Amino acid sequence: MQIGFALFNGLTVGMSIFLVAAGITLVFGMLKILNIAHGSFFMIGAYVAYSAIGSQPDSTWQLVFAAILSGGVLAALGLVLNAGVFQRLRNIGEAYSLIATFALLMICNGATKIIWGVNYHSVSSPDALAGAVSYGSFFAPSYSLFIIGLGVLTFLILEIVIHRSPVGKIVRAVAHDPWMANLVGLNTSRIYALVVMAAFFCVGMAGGLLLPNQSLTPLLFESYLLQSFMVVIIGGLGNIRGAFIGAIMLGLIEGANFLMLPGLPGILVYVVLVGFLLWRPHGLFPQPGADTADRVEGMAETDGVPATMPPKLLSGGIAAAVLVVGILASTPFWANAGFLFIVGFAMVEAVLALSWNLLFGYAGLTTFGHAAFFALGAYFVGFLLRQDTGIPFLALLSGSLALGAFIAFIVGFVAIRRTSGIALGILTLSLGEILRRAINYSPALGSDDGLSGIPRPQIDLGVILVDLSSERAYFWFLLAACSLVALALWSFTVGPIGRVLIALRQDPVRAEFLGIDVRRYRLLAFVISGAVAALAGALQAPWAQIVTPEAASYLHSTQPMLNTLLGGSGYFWGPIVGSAIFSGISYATRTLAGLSEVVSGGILLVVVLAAPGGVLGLGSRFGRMWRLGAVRKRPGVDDLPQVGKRAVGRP
Amino acid sequence: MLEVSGLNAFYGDSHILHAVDLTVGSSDRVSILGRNGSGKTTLMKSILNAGPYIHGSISLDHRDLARETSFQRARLGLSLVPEDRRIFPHLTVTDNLLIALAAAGDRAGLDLERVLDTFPMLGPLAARYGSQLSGGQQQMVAVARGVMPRPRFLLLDEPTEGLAPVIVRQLAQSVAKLCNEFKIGLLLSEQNIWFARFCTQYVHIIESGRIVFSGSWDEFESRPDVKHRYLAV
Repeated sequence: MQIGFALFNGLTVGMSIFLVAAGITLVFGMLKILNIAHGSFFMIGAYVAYSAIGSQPDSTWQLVFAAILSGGVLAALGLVLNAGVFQRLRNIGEAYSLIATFALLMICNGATKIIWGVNYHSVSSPDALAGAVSYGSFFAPSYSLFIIGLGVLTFLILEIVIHRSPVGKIVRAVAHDPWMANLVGLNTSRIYALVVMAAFFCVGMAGGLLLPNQSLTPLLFESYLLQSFMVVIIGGLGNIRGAFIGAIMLGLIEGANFLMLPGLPGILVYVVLVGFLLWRPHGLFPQPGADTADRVEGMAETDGVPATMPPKLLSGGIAAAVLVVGILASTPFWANAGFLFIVGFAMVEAVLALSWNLLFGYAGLTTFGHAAFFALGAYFVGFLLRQDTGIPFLALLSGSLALGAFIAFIVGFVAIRRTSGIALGILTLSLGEILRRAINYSPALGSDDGLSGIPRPQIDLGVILVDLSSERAYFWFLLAACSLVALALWSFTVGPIGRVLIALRQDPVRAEFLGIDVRRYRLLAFVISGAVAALAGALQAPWAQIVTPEAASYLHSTQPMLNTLLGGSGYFWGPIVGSAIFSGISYATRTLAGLSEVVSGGILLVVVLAAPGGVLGLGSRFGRMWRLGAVRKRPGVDDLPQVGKRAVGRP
Repeated sequence: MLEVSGLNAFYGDSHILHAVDLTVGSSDRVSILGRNGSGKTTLMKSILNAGPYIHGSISLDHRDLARETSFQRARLGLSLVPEDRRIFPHLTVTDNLLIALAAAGDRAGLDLERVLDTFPMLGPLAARYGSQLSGGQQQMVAVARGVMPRPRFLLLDEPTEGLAPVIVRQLAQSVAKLCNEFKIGLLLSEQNIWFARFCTQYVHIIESGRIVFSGSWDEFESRPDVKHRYLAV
């Protein structure tokens, strides 16, 4: 009987997820964009419905009408975003469109906080759905039956429209070959817009329909985001049948988790997902043209984004580095404690971002779980410092480096062999989430609260004893350590191995033909990157004096990505510039709930859309134009070769 | 009448077509011959506004097309059959043809059965999916799809590339028959002189993005130097 309930609940969960995931699948199938912001659109849909009906809907019909209203509002939003964002993302690389949709996620979440506040709301089921239907000793809540019915209905409608109707034939023709569809006379941009609106309608309606089961807070976006991702990954990207089956599987796994591991809710799905990705990286039903199979190697490549280049001006670089380190070293003399704290964080984040860019900008691998390595190092050092073991601090730092390298070797050895592209991204993301949940459920590591009151250490150099317990002293130590790590990484990237990595990022296939063992070099980059990320965590633990499971969350994993792309992934120093700018923005907007996310997200979105080369890329492009005199003297209309140079054409 | 004048086309930094002028009268059938990389495909795509950046004027029946997008040009009666065919693999042969008819908006179009009859090879394949066709079959479907909306002009881009000689003969007969029967103008880019001669009345030769010879097939024959200079390998 208990199994029956667990299965039924699992099915309810699965259908709820399917309602949300249907939209992601449609958008991916059509635009080949994996929309991370989808969870936020779901949340906005829920809030719109809440605004319409309040916390006590009178009847089922009222709930349904509110859901349709949400769908309409979201469809309008989808129309705007399609024209303003999605259509522009179609010609740039997958990694960049992921980042752009992440920027949308930040903007939506911030806007939600500004519009609806951060307070908790709850909505009860309408009376007609509040009861239960009983059958013998088994009983099912009416609301669950309602959700399951709607899930199946949505699937049937989508299945019939997409696979069995004339409309579906046209939509699939456009999705498969937009160029040719245009040439036979189909208005592809209008069809894109309609499909995106349909997808947004679905997610808005899901927000309204699932309202009664939620606690409505600005964190709602998270609750379905990762699960609906898993569903589309399991099913095969862009495949509505796959998503349906994936959703049922996921629900049943949740049910099994409840029965078998009641103490560790939600962990089994990630374990299963990791296994599944290693087994079938392209999902149950990989679709030609809708999966990532033909583009997996090209994830990091995009037109107009400079590939990582070895630097040319050594003396200028040294002067700039000395200047920056000098200014940073003087910070404790003039900045207040709050600002100093932020600067220290920014330095650590910069090191983390440098380590991530070693993968993205050099080895051509996009991972979404980098924070896991950071958390490994932070917890390792934080835990041992609190235990007062007497192990020298430098030994602890080396230990974190070795731990990061070891774990990265194990993960990389399996992951790089089996997956690439989006599958690698989701795999690393899942591993990060497993770690975060494992920490969450470990009382020895402080569970949800994390480890607080981490003491700052002393360093015994034999001759003198350096006491790092004061804020200033540790800040200078942090600055020295971060500078050293950055210098070491820089000399690595300009060395022979760095050049090999640049080559295989630009063209892995050709690099392979030249006799380069691509996997081995990628694994090497993965190990170094993981080790440095763990070291960054280890350095941060005594600075913050607290480590929480959030250090391992996927939101933290996105920070190095944002910093890198903002600064410019094609430049070794780009991640540092990005970290500085991001920290500045979050410091300036720290007191404004919501606005800070809107501003950071907005800047990120503009950077990805207007300057995929990042701030440094923009700077160097402007500098080149200035030298050529192109800024001052615009070419005449009849100056055809010039016109051609600026023209964007795809062969 | 399809008129192209002063057409320059670019791919990024590369200037592909240089001031090309070309006129195809209604129901005229014209070949464009040229070596690989001479700009034949770029010219075809430029007329449909489907890729290259263009500068110059293109008009159909004295209507300037500068503002029209690809799908609007298709609906006005320009139908391009690209050299890589691009059959929709998830649709059946019949659906591939019908989707072109549905997409063409107000155009009256042709009868499906009559078009299928023109290509003897296609009859038995009508229910096959695009992904299950051989290269020659795909080319037939692509041409059939191209004529379905009864275009004013059919633009065939190297249709014989990679086809067996027997298929080339069948295709030539089908193309000539369709153009005759339904008064469809033809702009054909080719390297196969036999095929081009069978299907068309006039010939233009393109070399490095410039039209270097224009005339009837008789005039072409009387100038062996032209053939030697621009087409021989």
